[in-house]
Amino acid sequence: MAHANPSIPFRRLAGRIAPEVSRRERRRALGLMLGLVAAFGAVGGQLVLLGVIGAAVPHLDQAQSIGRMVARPDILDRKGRLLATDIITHSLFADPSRIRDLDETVDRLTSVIPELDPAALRKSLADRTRRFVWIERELTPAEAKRVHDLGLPGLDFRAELTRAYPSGEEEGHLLGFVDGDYEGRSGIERYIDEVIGVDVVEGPVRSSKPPVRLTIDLAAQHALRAELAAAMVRYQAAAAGAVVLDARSGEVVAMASLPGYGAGDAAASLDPGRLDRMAAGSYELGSVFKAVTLAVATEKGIASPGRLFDAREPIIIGNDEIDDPHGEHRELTAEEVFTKSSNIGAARMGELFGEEGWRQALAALHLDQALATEIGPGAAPQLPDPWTKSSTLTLAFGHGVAISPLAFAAATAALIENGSVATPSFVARSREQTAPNAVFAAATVETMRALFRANVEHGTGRKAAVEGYDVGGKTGTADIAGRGGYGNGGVIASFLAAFPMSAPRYIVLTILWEPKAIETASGQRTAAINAAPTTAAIIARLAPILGLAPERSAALSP
Amino acid sequence: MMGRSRNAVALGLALAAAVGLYMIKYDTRLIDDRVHRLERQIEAAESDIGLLQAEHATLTRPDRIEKLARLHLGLAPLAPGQIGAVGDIPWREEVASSAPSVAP
Repeated sequence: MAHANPSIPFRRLAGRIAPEVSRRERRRALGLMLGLVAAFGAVGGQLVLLGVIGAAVPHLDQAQSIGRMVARPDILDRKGRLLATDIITHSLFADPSRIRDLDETVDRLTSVIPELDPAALRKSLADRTRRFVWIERELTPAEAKRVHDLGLPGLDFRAELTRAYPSGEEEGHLLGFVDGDYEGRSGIERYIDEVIGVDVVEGPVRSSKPPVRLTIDLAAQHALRAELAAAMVRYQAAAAGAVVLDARSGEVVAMASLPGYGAGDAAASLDPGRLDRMAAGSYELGSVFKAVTLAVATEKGIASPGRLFDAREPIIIGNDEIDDPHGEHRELTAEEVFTKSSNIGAARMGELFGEEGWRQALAALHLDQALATEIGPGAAPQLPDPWTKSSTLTLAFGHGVAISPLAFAAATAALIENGSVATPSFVARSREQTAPNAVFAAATVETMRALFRANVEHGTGRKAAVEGYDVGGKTGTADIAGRGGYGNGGVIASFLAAFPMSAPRYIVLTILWEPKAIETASGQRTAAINAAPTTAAIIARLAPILGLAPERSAALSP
Repeated sequence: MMGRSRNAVALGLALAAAVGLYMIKYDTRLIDDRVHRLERQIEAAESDIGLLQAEHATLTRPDRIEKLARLHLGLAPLAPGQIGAVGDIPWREEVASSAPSVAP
């Protein structure tokens, strides 16, 4: 009982108020008082609460949209340049029942927004039974101001967020696009929805989330795209693509696939001709794959310096004939197999690996699985199926295995950097130290660096040399498999390069699809005369952007 | 007598409290309005900043700058041979002879 034994002060208080009434009534009065104090206390407390937190009561403005809106974080390049942002646009609507003078409204609106069709506008505004008619979506701020200054009744704005991609160029492959509900549907935009998250906001307010910083360098990206576009014209290629990968961190500094499409262009992304060939396509890359063959052979001790590989006769296996088109048909050292790009010599090595050896090597280099990155799932590789004796041989020169160029570039980091496969990334992150899972020993890496360098000094990659930058690399020319087999269609010419070769920092993989033979190049269309010089042009232009100074050449020093 | 004056004081206090509460409430409403106005101004300013940043990014995008630099300044992309270090510049003869300790 709460008041069975009231405390001393209360008993005294009750005695003062009404000394003549009985104890029992006093108790009752006391109870009433306590109840009243509690009730008024509650009212007072609520008042204070309302006064303090009253700001949380939602305010609705006509200029603000009602309902859910999504604000997306900005996307920046690695140096903080803006690639994607939310801007607030104003969409104009009308309430026809409140329009006073139809003619004046139509005249003045069309004078301020010239794109409006006067007849259609008049028709939609004349229907006075309607209360809501869109006039124009996503006006520029200047247009919105002019319409606002007209002061016409019955018109109002709805502010909305619109995704803008100010970098201008065709970064659709990387950035992706958002759909009508402002949800990311591909590329980094999709990554934002799935991993980073978006803000749900009451009105058109910019996101409070920190911007997403990419590993892409906008200047390098532009330079890469410009060089690829020039190469496409020079060699009349159907498509061109290249990736510049930081061999140590796996960060993709620049990657382009032409023809591309603009960021935010959902319709163009459906065009199969504009596929992101570097990450979302898989191709037979041809002789660049010999880099993998040589590395595995070196690691296994097959390609010891003194050993000769018999390339005197073409190898005939089943219906296939393996030959060196411009070969010297003699016995070759391992280095010569690489620098002369001998199919026969590489096949001899592949034969020694066997199916099991190949499968282990492909798995160790992560070439047997699709490579998923922040820009989306990569293309799945196509390995020989069924695996025949012939597969074991042809794989050695990149025939019979289709892989995505990005995955291949990442795998080659293991050959020439520190022996472990790079994990390509497009979003800058705190360097997570993955367990060093070296595929190749340091001695193998040293040998591969020497091979890459020798191939540019006196092998098939001579045209990839760049003054001041120690470039090493390997050519590849693969026939595109057509309906009637190989040899009747175009080729895929590729060049895999790394620089500076003394301590490789960047890997560049350049690919031209279906380049045509050009007059200045003696009627050839092999990678040595198109992909190699394209790579040289890319390196010459990108290296200074990436902060690498050329080594002092003899001509400059006194 | 005591009770009456006490009642008067209590009434006065109650009135003063009511007036005080009203004034505070009124003030909070004014301050509240100001907060909302400022919030809207901040939003508008942030929106303007975003728009200007977007415009700046559009105007400084590399393809546009390259086009303008080629057209109006006659510039072309840098070639590796154009990059040198200060140490590459030979010393003038007299400097070299007068200060052999500085110039190798």
